Amino acid sequence: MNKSVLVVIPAFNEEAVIQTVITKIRNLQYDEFALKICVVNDGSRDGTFEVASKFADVVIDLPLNLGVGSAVRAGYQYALRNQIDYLIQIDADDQHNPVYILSMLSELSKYDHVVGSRYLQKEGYEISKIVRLAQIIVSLLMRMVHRINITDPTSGFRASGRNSIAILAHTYPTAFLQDTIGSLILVKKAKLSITEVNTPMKPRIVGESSQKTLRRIRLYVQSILLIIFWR
Amino acid sequence: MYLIIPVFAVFLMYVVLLVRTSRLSMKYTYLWVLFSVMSLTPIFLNEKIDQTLNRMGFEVAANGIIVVSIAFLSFVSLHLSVQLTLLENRFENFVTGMAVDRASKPSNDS
Repeated sequence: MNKSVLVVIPAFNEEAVIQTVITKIRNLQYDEFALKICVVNDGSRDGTFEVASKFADVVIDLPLNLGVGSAVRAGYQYALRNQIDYLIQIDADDQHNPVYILSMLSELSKYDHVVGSRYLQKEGYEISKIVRLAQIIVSLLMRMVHRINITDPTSGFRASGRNSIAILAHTYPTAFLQDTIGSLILVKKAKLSITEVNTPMKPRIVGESSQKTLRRIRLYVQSILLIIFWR
Repeated sequence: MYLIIPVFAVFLMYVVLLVRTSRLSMKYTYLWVLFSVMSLTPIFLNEKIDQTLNRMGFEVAANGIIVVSIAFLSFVSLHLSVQLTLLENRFENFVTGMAVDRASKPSNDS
């Protein structure tokens, strides 16, 4: 029997691109997997819900904007409740290339949690030097404090197996940035295996990031504290 | 100094009013009753507090009272942050749980 896969797309005001993302994911060949696309509408004020209802298999409609962490947690809860084998988490802004979903799924036969890394190979993605420096510090701390050897612990492109889904469905951190870092720590603390695959990412074309540089720095400081406090 | 008594009497009456109108939960009221009692203590135990604080190394008793007040108000702030975090978690769990319930219904699950 084919393994069931739930692709979770947390979306906030992504009306312009959500259809493209869903179509790209659907156009891939998933021979040994039964795929379901789940959009978590995080209280969008545009037509994201209407577009998602037309093209996705499942739409989880949060009545208000709770943030990406809560939206992803809702996806994990849905996966756990419906006994999904594998969960893929991908951004709704069309920056992640869905082609890599297949390589992430193949890694799930050996590992419990797979991170799509932007930095495993130097290609495709440019960000501000301050943010990159903060990411390097987070990476180093994750390695030193939790022995998690991942080049891109803040990546929102992830894959989880059943064990990982069971852990994260009720504990997935909800604060922005701490969701990605904290979930890795939780998976590691549950003694599950983690790996990463190369998933180059393109810059955002439509819309703009919800995070300004100063706010990002504050969030990174909070994340660094989280890494230390969760030792 | 005794002029402070009516101030805290009014403060306590306001706390009671908040409880009676359900704007303040009983479980947080003790903090503010404690605050009022602590604030009134120096009036009745002036000399004893002076002596105790001097023994603790405060040359001027007022400095000791300020330190104790800062510590107490920091505790209150931390307590409120903890309660706010709990409330935030419950609220998020409730909203996501409700949304997942609705999405899991067979009619939505084509």
